[in-house]
Amino acid sequence: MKRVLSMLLALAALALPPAAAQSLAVPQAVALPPLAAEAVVLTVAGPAGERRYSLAELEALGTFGVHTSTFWPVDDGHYVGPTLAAVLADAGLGEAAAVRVVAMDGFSQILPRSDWERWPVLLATRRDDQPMRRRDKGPLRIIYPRDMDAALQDTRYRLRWVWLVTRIEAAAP
Amino acid sequence: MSRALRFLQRRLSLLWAFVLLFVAGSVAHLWVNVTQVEDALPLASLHKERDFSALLGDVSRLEGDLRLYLAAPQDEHYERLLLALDLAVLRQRDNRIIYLGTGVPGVTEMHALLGEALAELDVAVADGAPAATALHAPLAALIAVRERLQILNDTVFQLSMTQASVQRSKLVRLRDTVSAMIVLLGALGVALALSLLRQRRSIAALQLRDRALQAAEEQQRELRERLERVADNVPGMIFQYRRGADGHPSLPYASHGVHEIFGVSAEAAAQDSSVLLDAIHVDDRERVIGAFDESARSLLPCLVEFRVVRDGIELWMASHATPQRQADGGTLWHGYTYDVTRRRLAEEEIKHLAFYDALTGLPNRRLLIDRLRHAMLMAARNHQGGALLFIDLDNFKTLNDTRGHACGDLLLQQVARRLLDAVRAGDTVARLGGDEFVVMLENIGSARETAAQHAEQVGEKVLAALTQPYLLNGKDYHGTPSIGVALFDDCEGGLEELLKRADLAMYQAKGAGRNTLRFFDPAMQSLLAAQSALEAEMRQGLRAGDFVLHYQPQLDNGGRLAGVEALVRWQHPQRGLIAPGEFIGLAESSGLIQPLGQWVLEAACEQIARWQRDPELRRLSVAVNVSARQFRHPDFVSRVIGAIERTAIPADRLKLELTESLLLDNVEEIIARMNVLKARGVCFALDDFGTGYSSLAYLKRLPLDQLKIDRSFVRDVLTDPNDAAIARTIIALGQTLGLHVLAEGVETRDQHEFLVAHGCDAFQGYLFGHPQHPDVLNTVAPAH
Repeated sequence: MKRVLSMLLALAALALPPAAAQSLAVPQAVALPPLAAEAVVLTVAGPAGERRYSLAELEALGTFGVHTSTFWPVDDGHYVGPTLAAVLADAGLGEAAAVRVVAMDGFSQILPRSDWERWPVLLATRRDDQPMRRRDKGPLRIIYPRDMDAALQDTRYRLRWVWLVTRIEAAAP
Repeated sequence: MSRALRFLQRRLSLLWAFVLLFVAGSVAHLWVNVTQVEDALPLASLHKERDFSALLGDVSRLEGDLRLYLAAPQDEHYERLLLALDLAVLRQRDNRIIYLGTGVPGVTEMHALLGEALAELDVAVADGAPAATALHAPLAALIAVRERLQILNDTVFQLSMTQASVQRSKLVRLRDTVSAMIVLLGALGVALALSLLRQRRSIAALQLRDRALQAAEEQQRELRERLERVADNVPGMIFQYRRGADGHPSLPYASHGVHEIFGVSAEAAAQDSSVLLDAIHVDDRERVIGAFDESARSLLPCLVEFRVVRDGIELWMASHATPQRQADGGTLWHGYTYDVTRRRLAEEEIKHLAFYDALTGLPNRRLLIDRLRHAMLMAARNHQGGALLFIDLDNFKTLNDTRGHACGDLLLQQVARRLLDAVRAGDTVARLGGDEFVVMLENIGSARETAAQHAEQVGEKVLAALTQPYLLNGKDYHGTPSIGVALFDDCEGGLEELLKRADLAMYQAKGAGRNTLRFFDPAMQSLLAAQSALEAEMRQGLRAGDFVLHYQPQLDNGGRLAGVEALVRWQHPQRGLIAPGEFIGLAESSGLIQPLGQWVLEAACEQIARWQRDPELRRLSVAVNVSARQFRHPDFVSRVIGAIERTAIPADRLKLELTESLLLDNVEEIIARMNVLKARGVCFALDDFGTGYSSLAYLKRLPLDQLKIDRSFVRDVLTDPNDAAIARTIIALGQTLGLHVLAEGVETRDQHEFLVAHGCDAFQGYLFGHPQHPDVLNTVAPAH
C-alpha cells in the first residue's frame, strides 16, 4: 500500500511540469564528447559469433538521454547511452525473439523483442554525463523510459533493469 | 389481498436489509484480511527475492576471494577481490536502502558492521595490492559479519517462513471465507431469486385468482340483476308453480308481473297460491286446474287461456308452462303468463268479420251454412223439425236505383232488426247478400205438419213485420217481401239442396204476385228438372235448326198490311211447336238468349231479303224483339249491320223492338248505339210501353219510330177507364213526339174502333191475324 502510494506521489510530482516531463520522459538524441575508453565492457553473442564493445564503440552507435525515475529511491538521474535496439541490430540480434542480459555477478534477465521495439530501451553508458563505476551499477545498465508509459511502472519490469551488464545473448522468450 | 401483499413486501425489505448487512460485514472482514496479508508481504517478498542470501553470497564471495588472494597474492586474484568488494559495496548500499523499515531486528547493526568491515577492506586495498598481513583484520571482520549475516538470514528466513505460513493460513481462511461467502451469497441469491420468483408468481396467481373471482362475482351479479330485470320487466309474469306429491300447490317464484296480471302482490302469492285461482274467472277455474292436471300427468307443456276479472273488466290471459317431475314425486312448472286480451279481441273481430255481415251485423252465408249443418244434424238426431225461410225484398232494386244505395242500406238494416224481433232468441237470422235474408228455425215440433204450421206462423209474422212502412231518410217507404219456406225433412240432399229449395219457393212466391209466402213443394222440384232438360234440348235445337220464325201482321190505320212482327217458335222434335213464353225466360237465365237472338235477327233479315223479290211484300217492315241483354252485348251493333250487309236488304225494313227495362241503366250508351243503327236506317219501336218505368225525358232523346201500347191496356180499353186513359195518353204522347203508335193485342172490332178513333196509327192482334209461317203470309189477303 505505502509503496503504491509513494509511487503515485512520485508520479504526481513528475506530472507537475507537464511539458518538461513530456519531453524529458522520452529519450532524446544527445551529442557527447567521446570517451577515451578502449577496454571491452560488453560481449554480444550474435548469430555471427560474439562481438565485443568498448564504451566508445557503444556510444558511437548513437546516444540518447533521458531523465527518469527508477524503482529505487536514490537512483533517479539523467541516463545516456545507445538504444538496446541499436546495439542488438549492430550485433545481428535485431530479429531475435528475446535476449538474455547477463550481469557481472551472474544475475540475468530475459528481455522479449517487444520491449525494445515498443519502447526506446537504453543500454546506458553514463549517468549525469559521467561514466558509471561498478559500485554505481555501471559501467552498463538497462534503462527503461519508465516515465514515458504507465505500463512500465509495473513491478514486473523492475527485474529487467539489469545493471553491471557485461553480456547479451540470444534467448528463448 | 392487499394486506397479504403488504406483509410480503415488508418481509421482503427485512430480508434485503439482512442481506445488505451480511454483505457489508463480509466486505469489512475481507478488507481486514487483505490488509493483514498485505502487511505480511514485505518480509516474505524480501526472502523470496533472495536479497539476504544474495547479500550473504556477496559477502561470502568477498570473503572467499579475500582468502584466495591471501593464499596466493596474484593480480588475477586481486582483480577478483576488487570486483567482489565492489559488488558487496553495491549490494550493501542497495540493501541498506531496501531493508530500512522492514522491521527485522539487527539489520541496522548488521549494515553498520558490514560498512565498517567493507570500509576497513577498502582502506586496506586502496593503494594497490596490499600485504597479506594487512588483510587479516578485515578478513576477521568479514567473517564476523558473514556469521552475523548468516544468523540474520536464518532469522529472516524463519520470520518470513512464519509470516508466509501465517499469510498462507490467512489466505486459506480468506479463500475459504470468500468462497463460503460466494457460495452463501450465491445460495442466498438463488434462494432469494427463487423466493422472489415464487412470491411474484404466487402473487400474480393470487391477483389473477382474485381478479377472476371478482369478474365471476361481477358477472354473476350482472346476470342475476339482468335476469331479475328481465323477469320483472317482460310483459306478463314469469313464475315457478309447484305441486307436491300430495297435490299441495305452491308458488316458489313469481315475478312482479303477478300484480299486473292477477292484482295480487308477489308476497301474497308466495304465501298462498290459491289467491291466484280466486282471481281467475269462475267459469275458467276448472279448465285451468284441468290443464295443469293433464300437464302433470303427461309431462307435456301446459298451455291454457283463461279470464281474469279486474275492476269489472274481463281480461284474457294465457299461461304457458313446462313441467318437470321432481325427485319427491311433485311437479314443478316453469312458465309465464301474459295478457292476450288484445289478441282475443282481434280474434273475435276477425271471427265476426268472417262470419257476420258488416252492414246488418247478422250472420253471413258462411255462418248460416255452419249453423244449418249443425241444426240439421241435431234435428235428425232429436227427431225435431226445422225450417228455412228464404226472404227476398220485392222491388229492392228499384229502391236502390231511385233513392240511392244509402237508402237501400238503411232499409236492409231496418229489415234485419225487424227480422230479429220477429223470431225467437234461439233462431238464426242471416243475410245472404243483396236483399236476401234467411231465417232458420229449430225445434219446431217433430211432426211435419206441426213444423209446417209453426214455420208458416213465423213466416206470416215476418211478412207482417216487413210490410209495415219504413222511414228512410225522413221519407216513407212501403216494401214487401217474398218468402219461400223449406222444411228440413223436405230434403235428403243436404243443406245446399235445402237452401236451393227455399230459394225456389221464394221464386214461386214472387211468381204468385209477391208479398206472399210459399212453401217448397215437389211440383216445383219437377219443374226445375224439366227446365234443365229443356235448356239442354234448346242448345240441341239451336244446333239442329229447330227454331222457326212466325210473323204476325201489323196493319196501318187504312187497314193495309204495313209490316210484321217476327216471333220465334221452337219446333220441338217430340213436343211439337213451343211458344216463346215457355223458353225465353230460360234462354235469358241460361245465356242462350245471345245465340237465339242472333239467329232470330239473321233469319228475319233473310226473310226480308226473300220478300224483296215480291212486289207486294217488299215494302213490309219486320219487327224483331231484342232483349236488353242482347242489346248490351258489345258486338250487337256490328252484328246487326253485318246481317243487313250480308243479306243486302234496305235497312229501314228492319225494326228493332226494345223494352223499357233496357233503359234502366247506362242510358247514354244505349242512346249512342241506337243512333249508330239509326244512321244506317234501322227503325226502333218501344215495346210494352206503359208497363215499366220509363222516363219521359229519355223518351224524347231516344231515336224511336214507334211506341207499342201494351196488350194489358188494350185488353180492358173499353171497360176500364184508367186503361182507356192510358191508351189515349200514349197515343197523344206519340203524336206530340212525332212517333207512330201501335196497339198490341187488338182482338175485337170495338177495341180497334176505339183506338182508331183516338188516332192510333197501327194495330196488331188476333183480330188481324195470328203469328204465321211466312209461306202462309204470302197468300194472306188484307183483311179488309
